[in-house]
Amino acid sequence: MSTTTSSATAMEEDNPLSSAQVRYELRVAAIAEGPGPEETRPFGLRAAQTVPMPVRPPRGYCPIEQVAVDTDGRPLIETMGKEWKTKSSSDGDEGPEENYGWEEEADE
Amino acid sequence: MTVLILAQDADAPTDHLVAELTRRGVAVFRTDTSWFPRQLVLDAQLGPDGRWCGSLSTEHRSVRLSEIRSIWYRDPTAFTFAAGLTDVERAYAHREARLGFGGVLAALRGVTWANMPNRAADAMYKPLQLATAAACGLRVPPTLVTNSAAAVRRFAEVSDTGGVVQKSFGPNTVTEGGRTKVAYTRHLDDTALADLRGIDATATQLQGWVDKTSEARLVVVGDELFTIRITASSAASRVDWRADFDALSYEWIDTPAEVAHGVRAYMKALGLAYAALDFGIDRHDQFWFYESNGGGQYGWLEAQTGAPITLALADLLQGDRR
Repeated sequence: MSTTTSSATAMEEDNPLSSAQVRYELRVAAIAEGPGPEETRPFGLRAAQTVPMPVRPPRGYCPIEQVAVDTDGRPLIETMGKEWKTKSSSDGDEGPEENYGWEEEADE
Repeated sequence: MTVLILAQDADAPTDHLVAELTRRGVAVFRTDTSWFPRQLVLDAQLGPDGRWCGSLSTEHRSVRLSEIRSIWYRDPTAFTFAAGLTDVERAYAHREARLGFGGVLAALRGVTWANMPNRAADAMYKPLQLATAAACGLRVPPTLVTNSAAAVRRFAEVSDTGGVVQKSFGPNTVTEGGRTKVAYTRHLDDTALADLRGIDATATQLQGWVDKTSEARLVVVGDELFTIRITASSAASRVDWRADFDALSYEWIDTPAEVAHGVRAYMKALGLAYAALDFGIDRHDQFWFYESNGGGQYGWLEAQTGAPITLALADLLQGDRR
Protein backbone atom coordinates (compact mmCIF):
# COMPACT_ATOMS: atom_id res chain seq x y z
CA MET A 1 0.00 0.00 0.00
CA SER A 2 1.25 3.44 -0.63
CA THR A 3 0.00 6.75 0.58
CA THR A 4 1.05 9.77 -1.37
CA THR A 5 1.18 13.18 0.19
CA SER A 6 1.57 16.18 -2.01
CA SER A 7 3.24 19.16 -0.48
CA ALA A 8 0.90 22.12 -0.21
CA THR A 9 3.56 24.36 -1.61
CA ALA A 10 5.21 21.88 -3.94
CA MET A 11 4.49 23.70 -7.15
CA GLU A 12 5.97 26.89 -5.84
CA GLU A 13 9.15 25.34 -4.48
CA ASP A 14 11.02 25.30 -7.75
CA ASN A 15 11.75 28.19 -10.01
CA PRO A 16 9.77 30.58 -7.81
CA LEU A 17 9.87 33.50 -10.20
CA SER A 18 8.63 31.71 -13.29
CA SER A 19 5.21 32.76 -14.47
CA ALA A 20 5.14 29.75 -16.77
CA GLN A 21 4.99 27.39 -13.83
CA VAL A 22 1.83 29.00 -12.64
CA ARG A 23 0.28 27.40 -15.70
CA TYR A 24 2.26 24.17 -15.89
CA GLU A 25 3.04 22.07 -12.86
CA LEU A 26 6.32 20.56 -13.94
CA ARG A 27 8.01 19.80 -10.66
CA VAL A 28 5.53 18.67 -8.07
CA ALA A 29 7.29 17.07 -5.13
CA ALA A 30 5.65 14.21 -3.26
CA ILE A 31 6.48 11.45 -0.85
CA ALA A 32 4.98 7.97 -0.45
CA GLU A 33 5.29 5.10 1.99
CA GLY A 34 6.39 2.78 -0.81
CA PRO A 35 5.97 1.86 -4.46
CA GLY A 36 2.52 1.23 -5.85
CA PRO A 37 1.45 -1.87 -7.81
CA GLU A 38 3.64 -2.88 -10.75
CA GLU A 39 0.66 -2.68 -13.07
CA THR A 40 0.28 1.03 -12.54
CA ARG A 41 3.74 2.15 -11.48
CA PRO A 42 5.22 4.34 -14.23
CA PHE A 43 7.71 2.37 -16.29
CA GLY A 44 10.36 4.98 -15.68
CA LEU A 45 10.30 4.30 -11.94
CA ARG A 46 10.49 0.51 -12.16
CA ALA A 47 14.28 0.45 -11.75
CA ALA A 48 14.67 3.38 -9.37
CA GLN A 49 17.62 2.84 -7.04
CA THR A 50 18.02 3.92 -3.45
CA VAL A 51 20.78 6.48 -2.95
CA PRO A 52 22.32 7.86 0.25
CA MET A 53 20.61 10.78 1.87
CA PRO A 54 22.74 13.92 2.02
CA VAL A 55 23.54 15.34 5.42
CA ARG A 56 24.56 18.93 5.83
CA PRO A 57 27.04 19.79 8.56
CA PRO A 58 26.23 22.79 10.77
CA ARG A 59 26.80 26.06 9.01
CA GLY A 60 25.57 29.62 8.86
CA TYR A 61 25.35 32.52 6.48
CA CYS A 62 27.26 35.77 6.74
CA PRO A 63 25.05 38.62 5.50
CA ILE A 64 28.06 40.92 5.27
CA GLU A 65 30.31 38.71 3.16
CA GLN A 66 27.24 37.08 1.54
CA VAL A 67 28.71 33.59 1.75
CA ALA A 68 28.16 30.47 3.85
CA VAL A 69 30.29 30.20 6.99
CA ASP A 70 31.22 27.51 9.49
CA THR A 71 30.25 27.57 13.14
CA ASP A 72 33.19 29.86 13.85
CA GLY A 73 32.06 32.34 11.22
CA ARG A 74 34.76 31.48 8.67
CA PRO A 75 33.76 31.28 4.98
CA LEU A 76 33.41 27.67 3.93
CA ILE A 77 35.06 28.35 0.59
CA GLU A 78 38.20 29.15 2.59
CA THR A 79 38.07 26.46 5.22
CA MET A 80 36.84 23.60 3.07
CA GLY A 81 38.87 24.34 -0.05
CA LYS A 82 38.23 22.03 -2.94
CA GLU A 83 37.64 18.99 -0.81
CA TRP A 84 33.93 19.43 -0.42
CA LYS A 85 32.19 16.76 -2.30
CA THR A 86 28.62 15.78 -2.47
CA LYS A 87 26.06 14.35 -4.73
CA SER A 88 23.13 16.65 -4.56
CA SER A 89 19.91 16.66 -6.49
CA SER A 90 19.87 20.36 -7.12
CA ASP A 91 20.79 20.09 -10.77
CA GLY A 92 17.51 21.34 -12.07
CA ASP A 93 15.67 18.42 -13.52
CA GLU A 94 18.31 15.77 -13.65
CA GLY A 95 18.72 13.98 -10.36
CA PRO A 96 21.92 13.74 -8.38
CA GLU A 97 24.94 15.58 -9.60
CA GLU A 98 28.32 15.56 -8.08
CA ASN A 99 28.91 19.09 -6.99
CA TYR A 100 30.90 21.02 -4.51
CA GLY A 101 28.84 21.94 -1.54
CA TRP A 102 28.56 21.21 2.11
CA GLU A 103 26.57 18.05 2.18
CA GLU A 104 27.95 14.68 3.08
CA GLU A 105 26.45 11.32 2.39
CA ALA A 106 24.80 9.62 5.29
CA ASP A 107 25.56 6.02 6.10
CA GLU A 108 22.98 3.64 4.79
CA MET B 1 25.99 48.83 -11.12
CA THR B 2 25.09 45.79 -9.09
CA VAL B 3 24.86 42.07 -9.77
CA LEU B 4 21.74 40.59 -8.20
CA ILE B 5 22.18 36.95 -7.23
CA LEU B 6 19.16 34.83 -6.42
CA ALA B 7 20.46 31.63 -4.86
CA GLN B 8 20.24 29.47 -1.79
CA ASP B 9 22.24 30.48 1.26
CA ALA B 10 24.43 27.39 1.06
CA ASP B 11 25.69 27.08 -2.48
CA ALA B 12 29.42 26.70 -2.97
CA PRO B 13 29.64 27.77 -6.62
CA THR B 14 27.67 30.90 -5.78
CA ASP B 15 30.03 31.65 -2.90
CA HIS B 16 32.94 31.47 -5.32
CA LEU B 17 31.11 33.77 -7.72
CA VAL B 18 30.37 36.28 -4.95
CA ALA B 19 34.01 36.19 -3.89
CA GLU B 20 35.22 36.75 -7.45
CA LEU B 21 32.85 39.65 -8.11
CA THR B 22 33.75 41.20 -4.76
CA ARG B 23 37.46 40.83 -5.58
CA ARG B 24 36.82 42.76 -8.78
CA GLY B 25 35.06 45.52 -6.89
CA VAL B 26 31.68 44.69 -8.40
CA ALA B 27 28.73 45.36 -6.11
CA VAL B 28 26.74 42.21 -5.32
CA PHE B 29 23.31 41.89 -3.77
CA ARG B 30 22.76 38.24 -2.90
CA THR B 31 19.46 37.00 -1.66
CA ASP B 32 17.19 33.98 -1.87
CA THR B 33 13.58 34.22 -2.88
CA SER B 34 12.83 32.41 0.39
CA TRP B 35 13.73 35.66 2.13
CA PHE B 36 10.69 37.33 0.61
CA PRO B 37 8.57 38.74 2.17
CA ARG B 38 9.86 38.36 5.71
CA GLN B 39 13.54 39.30 5.32
CA LEU B 40 13.53 41.00 1.95
CA VAL B 41 11.61 44.18 1.23
CA LEU B 42 10.55 45.23 -2.25
CA ASP B 43 9.62 48.87 -2.76
CA ALA B 44 8.91 49.37 -6.47
CA GLN B 45 7.01 52.18 -8.12
CA LEU B 46 6.32 52.61 -11.81
CA GLY B 47 7.86 55.82 -13.04
CA PRO B 48 6.49 58.15 -15.71
CA ASP B 49 9.06 56.74 -18.13
CA GLY B 50 7.62 53.26 -17.77
CA ARG B 51 10.52 51.99 -15.67
CA TRP B 52 10.19 50.40 -12.28
CA CYS B 53 12.19 52.29 -9.71
CA GLY B 54 12.71 51.71 -6.02
CA SER B 55 14.74 49.20 -4.10
CA LEU B 56 15.31 45.73 -2.72
CA SER B 57 16.44 45.80 0.88
CA THR B 58 17.46 43.51 3.68
CA GLU B 59 18.52 44.36 7.19
CA HIS B 60 22.11 44.58 5.98
CA ARG B 61 22.08 46.06 2.48
CA SER B 62 19.98 47.62 -0.21
CA VAL B 63 20.07 47.96 -3.97
CA ARG B 64 18.21 50.37 -6.17
CA LEU B 65 16.35 48.62 -8.95
CA SER B 66 17.88 51.01 -11.46
CA GLU B 67 21.36 49.84 -10.41
CA ILE B 68 20.76 46.17 -11.22
CA ARG B 69 22.85 45.29 -14.25
CA SER B 70 22.50 41.54 -14.27
CA ILE B 71 20.75 38.73 -12.43
CA TRP B 72 22.17 35.27 -11.72
CA TYR B 73 19.18 33.03 -11.16
CA ARG B 74 20.70 30.00 -9.49
CA ASP B 75 18.04 27.61 -8.21
CA PRO B 76 16.58 29.81 -5.47
CA THR B 77 13.99 28.40 -3.10
CA ALA B 78 10.34 29.07 -2.46
CA PHE B 79 8.98 32.21 -0.90
CA THR B 80 8.48 31.76 2.84
CA PHE B 81 5.44 33.15 4.55
CA ALA B 82 4.24 33.50 8.12
CA ALA B 83 3.38 30.22 9.80
CA GLY B 84 -0.16 31.30 10.59
CA LEU B 85 -1.38 31.44 7.00
CA THR B 86 -4.01 28.96 5.93
CA ASP B 87 -3.35 26.83 2.86
CA VAL B 88 -5.64 29.12 0.89
CA GLU B 89 -3.88 32.24 2.11
CA ARG B 90 -0.48 30.67 1.46
CA ALA B 91 -1.40 29.70 -2.09
CA TYR B 92 -2.70 33.20 -2.74
CA ALA B 93 0.43 34.72 -1.22
CA HIS B 94 2.64 32.50 -3.42
CA ARG B 95 0.83 33.57 -6.56
CA GLU B 96 0.98 37.21 -5.64
CA ALA B 97 4.67 37.02 -4.76
CA ARG B 98 5.54 35.15 -7.93
CA LEU B 99 3.62 37.49 -10.17
CA GLY B 100 4.32 40.70 -8.25
CA PHE B 101 7.89 40.28 -6.99
CA GLY B 102 8.86 38.21 -10.00
CA GLY B 103 6.99 40.51 -12.32
CA VAL B 104 8.90 43.59 -11.22
CA LEU B 105 12.23 41.85 -11.77
CA ALA B 106 11.08 40.56 -15.15
CA ALA B 107 10.15 44.09 -16.16
CA LEU B 108 13.53 45.65 -15.38
CA ARG B 109 15.05 47.01 -18.56
CA GLY B 110 18.57 46.50 -19.76
CA VAL B 111 19.24 43.65 -17.36
CA THR B 112 21.22 40.56 -18.38
CA TRP B 113 19.54 37.46 -16.96
CA ALA B 114 21.24 34.14 -16.59
CA ASN B 115 18.69 32.84 -16.99
CA MET B 116 15.37 34.60 -17.31
CA PRO B 117 13.13 32.25 -15.26
CA ASN B 118 10.44 32.04 -17.91
CA ARG B 119 12.94 31.15 -20.64
CA ALA B 120 14.46 28.55 -18.33
CA ALA B 121 11.03 27.12 -17.61
CA ASP B 122 10.20 26.89 -21.31
CA ALA B 123 13.52 25.15 -21.93
CA MET B 124 12.74 22.44 -19.39
CA TYR B 125 10.71 20.57 -21.99
CA LYS B 126 12.98 17.80 -23.27
CA PRO B 127 11.00 17.32 -26.49
CA LEU B 128 11.45 21.04 -27.17
CA GLN B 129 15.16 20.71 -26.39
CA LEU B 130 15.57 17.81 -28.78
CA ALA B 131 13.63 19.45 -31.59
CA THR B 132 15.49 22.72 -31.12
CA ALA B 133 18.87 20.97 -31.02
CA ALA B 134 18.09 19.10 -34.23
CA ALA B 135 16.91 22.28 -35.91
CA CYS B 136 20.18 23.94 -34.87
CA GLY B 137 22.24 21.25 -36.58
CA LEU B 138 23.16 19.13 -33.57
CA ARG B 139 22.96 15.35 -33.82
CA VAL B 140 20.08 13.97 -31.80
CA PRO B 141 19.43 10.27 -31.10
CA PRO B 142 16.22 8.70 -32.42
CA THR B 143 13.63 9.47 -29.75
CA LEU B 144 10.19 8.15 -28.94
CA VAL B 145 7.63 9.69 -26.60
CA THR B 146 4.67 7.47 -25.95
CA ASN B 147 2.31 5.74 -23.56
CA SER B 148 1.90 2.81 -25.95
CA ALA B 149 3.66 -0.51 -25.34
CA ALA B 150 3.21 -1.36 -29.01
CA ALA B 151 5.02 1.80 -29.99
CA VAL B 152 7.88 0.93 -27.64
CA ARG B 153 8.24 -2.53 -29.21
CA ARG B 154 8.14 -1.06 -32.71
CA PHE B 155 10.78 1.53 -31.78
CA ALA B 156 13.04 -1.08 -30.18
CA GLU B 157 12.73 -3.49 -33.10
CA VAL B 158 13.94 -0.98 -35.66
CA SER B 159 16.67 0.49 -33.49
CA ASP B 160 20.00 -0.27 -35.14
CA THR B 161 22.30 1.46 -32.68
CA GLY B 162 22.64 -1.25 -30.07
CA GLY B 163 19.36 -1.05 -28.25
CA VAL B 164 17.28 1.61 -26.58
CA VAL B 165 17.36 3.47 -23.29
CA GLN B 166 14.59 4.93 -21.19
CA LYS B 167 15.07 8.22 -19.39
CA SER B 168 12.90 10.65 -17.50
CA PHE B 169 11.72 13.98 -18.86
CA GLY B 170 11.99 15.75 -15.54
CA PRO B 171 13.21 15.20 -11.99
CA ASN B 172 14.11 11.54 -11.61
CA THR B 173 14.49 11.58 -7.84
CA VAL B 174 11.62 10.36 -5.67
CA THR B 175 11.10 9.68 -1.98
CA GLU B 176 9.47 6.40 -1.03
CA GLY B 177 9.45 4.73 2.34
CA GLY B 178 11.70 7.42 3.74
CA ARG B 179 14.38 6.68 1.16
CA THR B 180 15.58 8.75 -1.74
CA LYS B 181 15.51 6.88 -5.02
CA VAL B 182 16.82 7.82 -8.43
CA ALA B 183 15.52 6.55 -11.73
CA TYR B 184 18.73 6.60 -13.73
CA THR B 185 18.79 6.26 -17.48
CA ARG B 186 18.12 2.59 -18.14
CA HIS B 187 19.30 0.40 -21.00
CA LEU B 188 16.36 -1.82 -21.89
CA ASP B 189 17.35 -5.42 -22.48
CA ASP B 190 15.04 -8.16 -23.78
CA THR B 191 13.79 -8.89 -20.27
CA ALA B 192 12.81 -5.27 -19.71
CA LEU B 193 11.15 -5.04 -23.10
CA ALA B 194 9.16 -8.20 -22.36
CA ASP B 195 7.47 -6.55 -19.38
CA LEU B 196 6.20 -3.14 -20.33
CA ARG B 197 3.74 -2.71 -17.52
CA GLY B 198 3.53 0.94 -16.60
CA ILE B 199 4.26 2.29 -20.04
CA ASP B 200 0.63 3.33 -20.23
CA ALA B 201 0.81 5.03 -16.82
CA THR B 202 2.22 8.21 -18.28
CA ALA B 203 4.42 9.60 -21.06
CA THR B 204 7.66 7.67 -21.44
CA GLN B 205 10.81 8.71 -23.30
CA LEU B 206 12.95 6.19 -25.15
CA GLN B 207 16.04 6.90 -27.17
CA GLY B 208 18.28 4.91 -29.43
CA TRP B 209 21.45 3.90 -27.62
CA VAL B 210 24.45 5.99 -28.62
CA ASP B 211 27.48 3.72 -28.96
CA LYS B 212 29.61 6.18 -27.06
CA THR B 213 33.21 6.09 -25.93
CA SER B 214 32.71 8.98 -23.53
CA GLU B 215 30.29 11.77 -22.74
CA ALA B 216 30.59 15.50 -22.34
CA ARG B 217 29.03 18.23 -20.31
CA LEU B 218 29.22 21.46 -22.25
CA VAL B 219 28.79 24.49 -20.01
CA VAL B 220 27.71 27.63 -21.82
CA VAL B 221 28.26 31.03 -20.24
CA GLY B 222 27.24 33.75 -22.66
CA ASP B 223 29.57 33.28 -25.62
CA GLU B 224 31.99 31.10 -23.69
CA LEU B 225 31.87 27.32 -24.08
CA PHE B 226 33.54 24.87 -21.71
CA THR B 227 33.44 21.27 -22.86
CA ILE B 228 34.38 18.67 -20.28
CA ARG B 229 34.83 15.10 -21.50
CA ILE B 230 33.53 12.57 -18.98
CA THR B 231 34.91 9.07 -19.33
CA ALA B 232 33.22 6.26 -17.45
CA SER B 233 34.94 3.08 -16.30
CA SER B 234 32.08 1.08 -14.81
CA ALA B 235 29.07 -0.60 -16.37
CA ALA B 236 26.58 1.58 -14.52
CA SER B 237 28.31 4.85 -15.35
CA ARG B 238 28.60 3.95 -19.03
CA VAL B 239 24.82 4.02 -19.25
CA ASP B 240 24.31 7.01 -16.92
CA TRP B 241 27.40 8.69 -15.52
CA ARG B 242 25.41 9.97 -12.56
CA ALA B 243 25.08 6.39 -11.33
CA ASP B 244 28.75 6.00 -10.32
CA PHE B 245 30.74 9.20 -9.85
CA ASP B 246 33.74 7.34 -8.47
CA ALA B 247 34.21 5.67 -11.87
CA LEU B 248 34.54 8.93 -13.80
CA SER B 249 37.49 10.87 -15.11
CA TYR B 250 37.37 14.36 -16.57
CA GLU B 251 39.18 16.29 -19.28
CA TRP B 252 38.64 19.87 -20.47
CA ILE B 253 38.69 19.63 -24.28
CA ASP B 254 38.21 21.90 -27.26
CA THR B 255 34.67 22.26 -28.48
CA PRO B 256 34.32 21.00 -32.06
CA ALA B 257 33.44 23.89 -34.35
CA GLU B 258 30.22 22.36 -35.64
CA VAL B 259 29.09 21.63 -32.08
CA ALA B 260 29.90 25.16 -30.97
CA HIS B 261 27.93 26.55 -33.91
CA GLY B 262 24.92 24.39 -33.09
CA VAL B 263 25.05 25.12 -29.38
CA ARG B 264 25.18 28.88 -29.90
CA ALA B 265 22.18 28.64 -32.21
CA TYR B 266 20.42 26.50 -29.60
CA MET B 267 21.03 29.01 -26.83
CA LYS B 268 19.79 31.84 -29.00
CA ALA B 269 16.68 29.92 -30.03
CA LEU B 270 15.72 29.24 -26.41
CA GLY B 271 16.79 32.63 -25.07
CA LEU B 272 19.31 31.21 -22.60
CA ALA B 273 22.53 32.81 -21.36
CA TYR B 274 23.63 29.84 -19.26
CA ALA B 275 23.13 26.12 -19.67
CA ALA B 276 24.84 22.80 -19.11
CA LEU B 277 24.34 20.54 -22.11
CA ASP B 278 24.99 16.81 -22.03
CA PHE B 279 26.29 14.88 -25.03
CA GLY B 280 27.39 11.38 -25.88
CA ILE B 281 30.60 11.12 -27.93
CA ASP B 282 30.78 8.18 -30.31
CA ARG B 283 33.85 6.38 -31.66
CA HIS B 284 34.01 8.84 -34.55
CA ASP B 285 34.17 11.74 -32.06
CA GLN B 286 30.73 12.86 -33.10
CA PHE B 287 28.68 14.61 -30.43
CA TRP B 288 25.10 13.45 -29.80
CA PHE B 289 22.86 15.87 -27.91
CA TYR B 290 21.01 14.35 -24.96
CA GLU B 291 19.60 17.27 -23.02
CA SER B 292 20.29 20.65 -21.53
CA ASN B 293 19.75 22.09 -18.11
CA GLY B 294 19.34 25.80 -17.47
CA GLY B 295 20.44 25.33 -13.87
CA GLY B 296 23.00 22.59 -14.47
CA GLN B 297 25.88 22.12 -12.06
CA TYR B 298 29.39 23.10 -13.02
CA GLY B 299 31.33 23.50 -9.76
CA TRP B 300 32.72 19.99 -9.62
CA LEU B 301 33.81 20.14 -13.25
CA GLU B 302 35.62 23.41 -12.65
CA ALA B 303 37.41 21.93 -9.65
CA GLN B 304 38.32 18.75 -11.54
CA THR B 305 39.62 20.42 -14.69
CA GLY B 306 40.48 24.02 -13.91
CA ALA B 307 38.06 25.30 -16.55
CA PRO B 308 37.49 28.93 -15.48
CA ILE B 309 33.70 28.82 -15.46
CA THR B 310 33.30 31.07 -12.42
CA LEU B 311 35.47 33.73 -14.08
CA ALA B 312 33.35 33.54 -17.22
CA LEU B 313 30.20 33.92 -15.16
CA ALA B 314 31.68 36.93 -13.42
CA ASP B 315 32.58 38.41 -16.82
CA LEU B 316 29.07 37.84 -18.09
CA LEU B 317 27.38 39.32 -15.05
CA GLN B 318 29.84 42.20 -14.81
CA GLY B 319 29.02 43.04 -18.39
CA ASP B 320 32.31 42.29 -20.12
CA ARG B 321 30.77 39.58 -22.23
CA ARG B 322 27.24 39.12 -23.48
